[in-house]
Amino acid sequence: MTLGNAGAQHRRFSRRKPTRRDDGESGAKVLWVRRLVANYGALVMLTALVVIAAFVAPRFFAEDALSNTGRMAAILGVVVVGQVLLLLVRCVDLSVAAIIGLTAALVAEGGLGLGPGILIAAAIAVSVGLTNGWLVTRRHVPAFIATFGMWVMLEGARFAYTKGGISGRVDASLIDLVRHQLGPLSVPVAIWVVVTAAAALFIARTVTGRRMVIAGSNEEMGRLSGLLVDRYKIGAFVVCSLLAVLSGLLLAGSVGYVDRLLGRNSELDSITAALLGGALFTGGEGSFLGGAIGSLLLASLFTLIVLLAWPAELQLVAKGCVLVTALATQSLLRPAGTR
Amino acid sequence: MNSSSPKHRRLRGRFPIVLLSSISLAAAACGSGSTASTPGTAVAPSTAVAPSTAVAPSTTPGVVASAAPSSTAGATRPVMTDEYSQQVERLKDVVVDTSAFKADPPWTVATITEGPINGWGTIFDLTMNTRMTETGKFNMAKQLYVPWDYDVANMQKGIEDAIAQKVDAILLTSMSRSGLAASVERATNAGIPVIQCMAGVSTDKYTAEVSAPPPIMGYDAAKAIAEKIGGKGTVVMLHGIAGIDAAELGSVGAHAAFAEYPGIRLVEQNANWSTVDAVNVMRTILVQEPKIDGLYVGGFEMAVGAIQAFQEVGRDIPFIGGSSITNGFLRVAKDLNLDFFAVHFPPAGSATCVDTMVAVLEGRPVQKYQDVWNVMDDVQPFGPEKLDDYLKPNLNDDYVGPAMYPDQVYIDAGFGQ
Repeated sequence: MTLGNAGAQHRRFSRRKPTRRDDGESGAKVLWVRRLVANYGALVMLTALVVIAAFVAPRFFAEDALSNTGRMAAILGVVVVGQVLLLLVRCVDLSVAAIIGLTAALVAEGGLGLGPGILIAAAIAVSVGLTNGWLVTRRHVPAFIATFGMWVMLEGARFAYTKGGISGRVDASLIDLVRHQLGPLSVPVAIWVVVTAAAALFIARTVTGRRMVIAGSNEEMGRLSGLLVDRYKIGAFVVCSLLAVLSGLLLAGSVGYVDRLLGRNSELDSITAALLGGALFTGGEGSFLGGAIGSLLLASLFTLIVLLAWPAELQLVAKGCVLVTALATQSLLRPAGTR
Repeated sequence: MNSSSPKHRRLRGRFPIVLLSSISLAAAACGSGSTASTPGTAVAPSTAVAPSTAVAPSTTPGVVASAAPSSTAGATRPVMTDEYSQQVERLKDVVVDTSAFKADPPWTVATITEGPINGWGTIFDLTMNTRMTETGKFNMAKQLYVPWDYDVANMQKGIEDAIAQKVDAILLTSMSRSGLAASVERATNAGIPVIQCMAGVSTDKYTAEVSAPPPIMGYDAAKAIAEKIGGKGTVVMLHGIAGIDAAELGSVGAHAAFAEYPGIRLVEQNANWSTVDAVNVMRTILVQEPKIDGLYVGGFEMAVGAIQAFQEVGRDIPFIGGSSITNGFLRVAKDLNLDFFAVHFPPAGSATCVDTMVAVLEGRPVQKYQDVWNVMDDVQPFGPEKLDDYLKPNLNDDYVGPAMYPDQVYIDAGFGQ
């Protein structure tokens, strides 16, 4: 079992009869390749994108470009970890973008100050996570709707806090911290690696982590087995919200500026990256490594498109095509017996 | 091969995806070459009214001729071939008889505007409401206020609600010339005067418009850049949100100017009027472009982000030209001693719109189209020599001038440091 891919153990009984290719050594190799592509379809697309970039945009491999790409992937990747965790328990969080924006507003200059701003942002994130979890588990509101409503509410709260003064500079100490280098890695990338590894280890090596996967795979069975399904979901919402705060700090420090559009689209991008990494809306499956690759794919796609100076309309179409192709390929090649 | 075999079924399953992807890419690739990226390309002129015969043809693509004064006082204005510019040229000398709209105050009006999505929108609303209050002729408690909130459908609904409530007038900042044309016509047909403020619609069936033409703003800013860099080099263009009229029309004018200088190479991206987006986009452009001679921005909040990207990699900041100047850029420009050319797109123009609305509701004749550069004070383009005249050190980066009221009014509205 690969790290972070605990769901592979819990395969449903498949109604499909095994084909000849599923038999024998050659069939096992084909199955392994298919599983690799299914779980890491984003890696296949990323590889293809890198190959294309080598021909059409050699500057993609310039040090500055790679550094920019890595930083963008890291900032998104931190949120993706939270989304993968949620998708493991059949949930999703659309309020992450609003949390990112609110965090940035709280740590902007002229606000509460960096320390108090971070503490308040974390407190808000915990409250939001608990509320989202309560709505989903106790009131049985679909996660999509509950977190969408939370997103709208947080956007209004941010407007109220800033009184319409929607942009400004970020605390200089945060900028210095985020732009610092830790050897070959920037601070955002280093944090991303640590968070991803910690999440993967938690799921794969701890009892609670493995129980979360079981609960996500089959909620009914989980409850009947005595698992605390609701607590796992609430915990996942809280962790996802806190990771959104971390992402907001990294983004604000990286850009050095806050405006109304900061964090925009991160909710959809993070869910997309998680899905590219093999997570499913049906729960029980997901790979933190795959999610990280998904983040890298989205960031690399942005860099390549800007380097090629494509107009906005072509950018959106290209992004959609890459994502649909990656997800569809994964879905089609998912081995029999897995969802 | 058996048509029902698993392999054949997989191939059939993949075919729609491949086909859809190919069609989408082909459509986008074909479409991408026909709009703003082509210098001088304009939107097709309106067929509702024939163009003015007083305008002679020009040799510059996208430009018809020189006619009325431009944003630069005393200079002649080029007339673009886009639909908006043709409409302005057609209607600029028309005087509207508003006696049919005369009503007794207090007036109940609908204000359908961009809304407080940025400093410009917030100051627009602030100035509009303050001016309305100052006149003492409006029922502010019953004012129907509808912000855009990134959805034209909100504005359409707002106009419909205004018609249903039989308001005395509608003040509209249209965020879609084509999307709101039918709604404006319905309001006009319902006998409600529509005063368009700082943006218009692609129909002549409105009462009056007070605006600054984005194509001219783009043209003037781009022309200044081109002349500053000697007519050759690489210019990066950062546009607003793709598909929004202000961004597209400004781009049309800018391209018309750059088309006059074949030695200029353009690198374009959308930065969505966002400082944050501009930082990310410019970081990548700087990797690709070893030398950048000029920077055109469709809004100076994007210049702030671009400047930061330049500073991160230690590159010299090029000459910057654009429209809608923010206090944040003026602060940075002063700190770094930057050279620039800024064209005003004053949110304070909403005060003139309110004055026009008062004239309409009092039954006085008004110009069908008023150019803010002709009716407002202190809105001529400027450079570093007048920076201190417009920089407000005690207001934040979002503030967009020129100021109509004392600084305390803006501080109370949330623009304090």
